Amino acid sequence: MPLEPPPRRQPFREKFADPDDGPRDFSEYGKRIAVEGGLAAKSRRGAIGESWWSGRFLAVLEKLGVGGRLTRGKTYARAGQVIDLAIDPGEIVATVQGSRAEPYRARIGLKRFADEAWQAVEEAFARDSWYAASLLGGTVPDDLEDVFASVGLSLFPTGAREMPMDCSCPDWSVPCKHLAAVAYLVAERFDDDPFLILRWRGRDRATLLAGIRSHRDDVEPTVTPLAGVLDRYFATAGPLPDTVTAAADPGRSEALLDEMPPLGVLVAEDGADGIDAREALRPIYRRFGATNG
Amino acid sequence: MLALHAAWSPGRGICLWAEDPARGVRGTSRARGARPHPFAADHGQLHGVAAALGATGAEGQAVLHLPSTGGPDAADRAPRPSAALVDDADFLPLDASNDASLATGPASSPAALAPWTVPVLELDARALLRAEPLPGEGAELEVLRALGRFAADLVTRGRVLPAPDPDHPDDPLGWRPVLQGRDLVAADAFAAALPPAVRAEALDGRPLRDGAGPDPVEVVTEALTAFVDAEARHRAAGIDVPADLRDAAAGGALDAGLARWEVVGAPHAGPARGTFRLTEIVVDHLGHAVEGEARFWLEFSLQSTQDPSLRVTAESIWRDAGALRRWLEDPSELLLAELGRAASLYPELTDALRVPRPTGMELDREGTHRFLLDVAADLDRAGFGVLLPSWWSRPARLGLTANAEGTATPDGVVATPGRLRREELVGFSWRLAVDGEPLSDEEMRALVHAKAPLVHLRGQWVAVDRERLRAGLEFLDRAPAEATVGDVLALHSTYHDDLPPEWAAPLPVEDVTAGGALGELLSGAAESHLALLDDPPSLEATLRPYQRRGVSWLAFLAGLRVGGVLADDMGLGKTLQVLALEAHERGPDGAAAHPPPDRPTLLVAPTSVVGTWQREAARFAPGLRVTVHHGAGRAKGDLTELLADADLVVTSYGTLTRDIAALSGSRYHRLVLDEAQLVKNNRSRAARAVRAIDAEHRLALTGTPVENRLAELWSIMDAVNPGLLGTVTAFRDRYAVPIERHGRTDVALRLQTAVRPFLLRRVKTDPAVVDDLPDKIETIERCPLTAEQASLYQVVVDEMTETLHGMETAGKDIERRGKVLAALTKLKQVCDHPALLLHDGSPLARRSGKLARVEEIVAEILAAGEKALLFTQFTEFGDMLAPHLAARFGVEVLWLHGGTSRRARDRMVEAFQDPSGGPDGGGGPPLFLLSLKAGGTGLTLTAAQHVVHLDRWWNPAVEDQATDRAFRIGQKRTVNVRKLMCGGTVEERIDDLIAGKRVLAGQVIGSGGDDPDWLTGLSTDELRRMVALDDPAGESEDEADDEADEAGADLDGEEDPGAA
Repeated sequence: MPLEPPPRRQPFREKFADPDDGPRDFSEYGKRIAVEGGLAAKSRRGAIGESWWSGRFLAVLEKLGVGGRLTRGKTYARAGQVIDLAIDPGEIVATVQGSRAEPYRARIGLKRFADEAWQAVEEAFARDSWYAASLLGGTVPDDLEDVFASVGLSLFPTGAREMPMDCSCPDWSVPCKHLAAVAYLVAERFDDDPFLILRWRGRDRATLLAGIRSHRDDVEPTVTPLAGVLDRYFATAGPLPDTVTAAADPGRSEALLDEMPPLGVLVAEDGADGIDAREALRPIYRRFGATNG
Repeated sequence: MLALHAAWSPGRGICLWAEDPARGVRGTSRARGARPHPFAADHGQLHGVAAALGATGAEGQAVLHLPSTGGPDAADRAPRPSAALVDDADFLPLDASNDASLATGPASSPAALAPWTVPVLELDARALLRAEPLPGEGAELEVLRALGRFAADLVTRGRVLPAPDPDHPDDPLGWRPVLQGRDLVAADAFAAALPPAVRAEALDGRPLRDGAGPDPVEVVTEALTAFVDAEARHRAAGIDVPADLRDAAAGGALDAGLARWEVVGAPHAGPARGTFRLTEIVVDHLGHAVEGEARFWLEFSLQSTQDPSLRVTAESIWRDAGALRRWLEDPSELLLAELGRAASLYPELTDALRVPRPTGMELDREGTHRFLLDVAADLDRAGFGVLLPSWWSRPARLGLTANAEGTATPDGVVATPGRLRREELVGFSWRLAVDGEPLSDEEMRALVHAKAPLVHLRGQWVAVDRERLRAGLEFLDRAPAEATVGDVLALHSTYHDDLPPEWAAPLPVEDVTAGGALGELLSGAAESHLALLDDPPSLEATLRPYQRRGVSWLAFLAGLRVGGVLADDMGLGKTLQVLALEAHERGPDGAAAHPPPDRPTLLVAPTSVVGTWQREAARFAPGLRVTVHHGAGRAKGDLTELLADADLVVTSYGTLTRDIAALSGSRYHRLVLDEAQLVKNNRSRAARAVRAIDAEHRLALTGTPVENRLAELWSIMDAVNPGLLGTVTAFRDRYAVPIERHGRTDVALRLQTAVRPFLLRRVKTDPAVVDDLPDKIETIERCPLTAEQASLYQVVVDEMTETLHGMETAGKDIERRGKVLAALTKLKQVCDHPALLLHDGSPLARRSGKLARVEEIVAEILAAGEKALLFTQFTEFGDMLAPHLAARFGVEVLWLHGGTSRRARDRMVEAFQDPSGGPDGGGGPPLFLLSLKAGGTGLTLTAAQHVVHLDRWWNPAVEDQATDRAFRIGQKRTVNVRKLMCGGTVEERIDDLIAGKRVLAGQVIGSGGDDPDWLTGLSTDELRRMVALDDPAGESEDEADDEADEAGADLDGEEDPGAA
């Protein structure tokens, strides 16, 4: 194999520079400040957002086609530059450490669905457990969008216009790498807990589930009225349970006591130094086990 | 009889009340509020009940809401009697004409709740625990009693926590239950089962608001707490509680700590997981039996991961999620989450979830099959619980069975040996078998037509692998419908990989059956079911019944030209059975079945028993023409002539190996391999020579239990049925390694099935044999002389003749007698071993035919784990033999002779009889060598099952006496007695005189002493004839050596230590 001349060494700046990145001597394009305990993306390489639903979310971002910023956002996300992140109804708010001392505030908004719309969705969910089962099981069913479509809504933002983004950094392009980093982290959150998508759209998990329950008409336990059971008033109303009949086993009778923390009360016993009241109870527990039935 | 009831009264506890059938008080009181119950028992009656329960109770009144009949006017109302009361024969409601409802019972009239005042006894909480249920007890008492037992059990298990009770300063340490896991579910079940009457008390005497009554859960919790408190206090009563603890409980000092305990003891059922339970739908939701296509129900549920027995169905979760919420956080969401998670593994689940409250899904046969075979395992691996029907343990094993029909002999008729021919064609039908059970036509049809291979067979559901089923059905289409008897045998015993392509089934052939004689051969029952042959007329012996069965079996195999292994225990007469077979085939009676064989049978035996065969044949089957092809003087070159004139050609393994070129030139009627275990090394020259012999039929004889020694089993089976068990390498992989190394009993069983048609082994302890056996089996074994022995023997004879000739003339009678005796003794010594005559301390190995035979016998005995006595008349021989045998076999050999001290003698007997190895005396040294004089009388050595007389004494009575050391009271087994003698020597001559010629024998025995007067009195010529060496089986020394190489080395797979 013939020897080739070594490639000309490129300066780092040039190598990693993005043509549309604007002026390179701005301080804000300097080295990012490392964050301790930042929210690092779990994904170490390749794409972020494994599931189709987080993919749908990221696709909106990627459609904006801001090139290198997305890649750098990914690097930011992996490096843990995002300090905190909250997915709330109507908006995602995050703090991102950039190259300036003061972290930037990034926000991704989304239109919340109206309560009436959610009612309709909850009703649909109550009719068909599949949706709740899937969401609770950690996946977004592929026909979930149909439920929203049936009430004239789109679960995922259809375009960037629906998803106003802003960041306190001086970069004029939207999304900037900070927003991109936040978006990637959000995608990972969506992977783990699809309920967060719905939360962003305005319904948190507990409210949603309670809504489904109420639509499903889950009965709260009620006492069987005496007046309704006159025909079997003196009869057992069901099979008696098989209760455990334990053999006398002194060791076992202390098991529950062993789980208990000390009572914090000292008890003097026969002139001896005080012992914790828990230990004073031990002989009684031992006696329980020694006497069977 | 009173109908007993109980209500739970908050604060008061169990309130016992009763209906009295004898009472007919009609309510007339116009008092406001609850009127007195008209037929309730009074306090006096209730005290009687309490006494029967072994309890007491405070008298009181309770207002109970009870089902009542009558109009809206309170005055017309009456409580409706409980069913128990109505059923009571004594119950005669008064004024029945006025009150139809009372007469016609509870179910027939409209009822409403009305309050009634009843007399009650307030029982203490433990009252119901003390006694068995009384007659007349209602369900309320049953439930409260069960609840009390449950409470007592909670206390026993320590599932209680202190509940300070400052209101009782004397005993301020109260208790309450901790309900977690299944205990919590049990408490809920009690609440669900609670009879309404238990919670019937009208609190403050007020009417019920909307008829509801107290919450059963609260009632049960309260009752359980009261019961637990009472039980725990009762048990702790004997314990001296420190005053400080008492004060702390009373003063509230424990409260802060106990609040933390309450968190630990809070009701919860622990984490749960989704669980799927598959059941067959037997009745539909209306209770009608399901007909038509079978359907299954996959029930969804949540199961506690800590206590798998705690499982709550989806149905009850949806019905009563609120109650479950007490112990499981968001049970319905957990259920849905688990179902959602499972749906990713089991997409079919999706459809079942498209309802508001999924409880399960219905599966058709196809779906059930898939669930059982694939999904269940996936779900299980993913952490879900899967509960499958008890009939399901694994996919059923699909196999094939083949049945040969229409054999020459119809079912039920026993076969006559020789009728069934190997080439005969038999109809052959295949069936699929599930777990080894062949399917009927209908079952096969069901399986073929089922959409999924899940069928109901023999009362249970069976799932089989679809692909294997398809392959099996395809094979059935092309499987041969006819087979020869030989094919059937091969199919039965050949490993399926070795079958020819047209027989190669895609599934294991689990069983090959056949009707009639073939079937019995396959099942191993042939020996006991065959029609028995008559003893051949030419046989000079009467066969014992088991021997007759053996001969019939051999003849049956011979008719089929199937090789066999006769592996009877030593001493059961294998030689005789083979001779009887030959006599049967070659005698006039054999001609009836098929023409007598026109070729000889080649019999190969160890050198030491070649002579035995010859003599036994002459003795038992004198009609057989026997030729011995053995020894220095044997025919060389072309053997055609020799073979043409013989029925039986006896040779040794050594000679066979050496003369294989000449011997393999002819075809034989039969090849018989005696002591076939000696050729177990299949690479040995002897083994190769055996395989080179062409015979129509092959038999192997062995006395060792070959079925447990797989290498031996393979070589012997391969020698008689070449190829049957495959190559030795394949055999090792398929059978030897799985059985010997992995202890696979199923494989052992398969092997046993494969060889069972060809192997007949009877042991002396078989009931069928024991009855036929004498308690003592005596055999006389002839041993050959080695060349050294023969020449020494000749020298002694010559010397004697010379000496005596001189004396005869001189008339020195006494001296002559002395010389004769000395010479006879020398001859016997030569027969034992040359070293015994020479007194030179020379090595023992390979110089004595008798010693060689002794070693064979001892090897067999040791292999069987048995013990032997060995008697010799020569102390010097014993001195030589004891260390030799000990070294040769690595066992301790006891040696008792005239010089043994009394102490040593007792010790030896004790050691030999050592019972530590089991009832048969398995411990202790296995070999006991005794001098005939010192050990022949007085001892009890019943641990021995074998007696070997190494040399003959003149008087058999002396030998018998020695034999009786083992054969005496305490001996539970048959004793094998072997008397060894050298063929063609004075030993044999004497034996002939004793055994064969009773006239002379009478003289011998009549002499009564040890001194053979009758011998010493013979003339020199007579004596010379008596002692002269007649050497039919003599041989050259090199031959003996050669055989030892072949056989001896094979015997135990290592160098003969005696040869070193």
